[in-house]
Amino acid sequence: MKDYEVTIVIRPELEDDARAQIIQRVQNLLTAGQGETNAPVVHQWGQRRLAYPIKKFNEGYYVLFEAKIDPLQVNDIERNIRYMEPVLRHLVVRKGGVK
Amino acid sequence: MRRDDASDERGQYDEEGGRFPRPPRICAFCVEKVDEIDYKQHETLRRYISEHGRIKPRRQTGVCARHQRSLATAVKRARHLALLPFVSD
Repeated sequence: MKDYEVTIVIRPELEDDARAQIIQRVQNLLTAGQGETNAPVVHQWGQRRLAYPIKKFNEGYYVLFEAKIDPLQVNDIERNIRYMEPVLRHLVVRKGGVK
Repeated sequence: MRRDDASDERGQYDEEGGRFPRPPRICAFCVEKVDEIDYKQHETLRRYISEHGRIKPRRQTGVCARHQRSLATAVKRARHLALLPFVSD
């Protein structure tokens, strides 16, 4: 288990509950196969202006997750996030020094 | 490329062939003892990109080699998430 940071950018025009559902789905992905104790920490940055348009949108809803993930599962998790249509962008990185 | 960084041309030879005293280069990230530069701090990163959105070279930023590499990665991650532009004018 290593510390990871997962950031996603969700379409801005999504309804609150639809967005909450996406966040929940990502959270479930990150929680899968681990105890309640290291459930991911969720930071919602909220709606932000994008530096450049993505799919004709000028804004996006940013959510950051901090989670402990088994490195072997990262590929699966990323593929699952990629299939979520309302997620405009995602980034999965290891936390702490790149050694 | 436009040279508006004349003040950063350090260590040039003067007429006598001697060197100018070189001002010490201090890496802002070493001072702060930053281990890895964070892509989420895009406001800080703005200082290290040109007005066109390009990553500034080390000779302009004064950042040490290690942190410049980390900085470049951070800028690229921030660009991917549209926190920073790829191009702007």
